[in-house]
Amino acid sequence: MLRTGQQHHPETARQSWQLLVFSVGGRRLAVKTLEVSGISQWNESIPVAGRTPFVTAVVRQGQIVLPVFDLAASLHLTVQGSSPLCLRVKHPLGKMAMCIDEEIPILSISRLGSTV
Amino acid sequence: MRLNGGLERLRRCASNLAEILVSIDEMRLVTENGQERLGMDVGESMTGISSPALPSRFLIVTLGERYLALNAESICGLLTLEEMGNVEHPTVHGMVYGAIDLADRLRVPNDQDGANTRVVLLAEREARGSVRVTTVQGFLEFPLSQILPLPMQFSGPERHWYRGMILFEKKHCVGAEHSVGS
Repeated sequence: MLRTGQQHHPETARQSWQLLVFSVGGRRLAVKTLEVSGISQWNESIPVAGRTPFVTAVVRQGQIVLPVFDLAASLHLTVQGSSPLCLRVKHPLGKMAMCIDEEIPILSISRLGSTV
Repeated sequence: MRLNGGLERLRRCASNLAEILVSIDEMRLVTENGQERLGMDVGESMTGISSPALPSRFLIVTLGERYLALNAESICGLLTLEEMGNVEHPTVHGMVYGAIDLADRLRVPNDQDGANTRVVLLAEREARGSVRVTTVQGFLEFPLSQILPLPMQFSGPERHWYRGMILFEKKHCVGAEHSVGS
C-alpha cells in the first residue's frame, strides 16, 4: 500500500527519519514510520458518545478495538475520496486509528529537519 | 425486581446490530441523577455482583444511532410513551423513576417521541431512574469478562459513563422471546 518517494541514502541514515507522508483533506502530513503500526482500508467506525475532543468513535479490527482520532475534524478538513484509508499510529496510551485520504501514502526521508 | 409483565415481549435481536456495543454503567447513571446514594459510592462497579465468567443478559437499545447495552439486572421495566402517560417522571407501583436525559448527557440526537421510543426503568438498590431510548433491539447474553475497557484515549467524563465495550459477533446473537427476570 506504500510507494517510495525517494531513493534511500544510507550515508544519511543516522541523521534522518523515515517518514510516511499522507493526505487528509488534500493537505500533506507526515508521521515517523516508527510511529505507524499499519495502514488498511477504512472500515465503518462505531460512534461512541463522549466529550473527549476528536475522539468520538472506535473501529474494530478483529478482536481489537481502536479509538479513532478525527484528524480531519481537528484540522477543519474533510477526508477526500470514496475509499479512505485507515492509518494506525502508536500512542503512549495505545494504538489509535485515523481516517485519511484515499491517496496512497508515500515513504520519504527527512534529514536535518527538512524533508527530501 | 422483574420487568413489568405484559408490557411487551421483546423480539429477537436484529442481525444487523453494530459489531461493537457500548455497555452503560447503570449504577453511576442512576446515582448521578440526584438519586439517593444510600452509602454506595458511585465508583463502585455493579460488575462485581455477577461472576465475570457467567453470561449476563443485556438489553440492547439504540439512542440516536448509538447502540448501548444495559445490564438486565438493573432493568425493572419498559414502558411505551402511552403507558408512561403525560408525566416527566414515570411512577410505577408508587415508585418514582426520575427521568435521566441520557441523550443530553451523551450529547447525541435522539428522537424521543418516535413510534419506537421506549422508557427503560432502572433501579440500583434503592436508587431509581428512567431513560428514554430510540428503540429497543432485544437481549443479548455475554459474560462480563467479555466487556473490554474503554480505550484510554477517551479521557473525558465518558470514562465514568460506560462499563466498556462488547465485541458482538453476529453468530452470538441470541433470542429473547421472554422477559427480563423470568
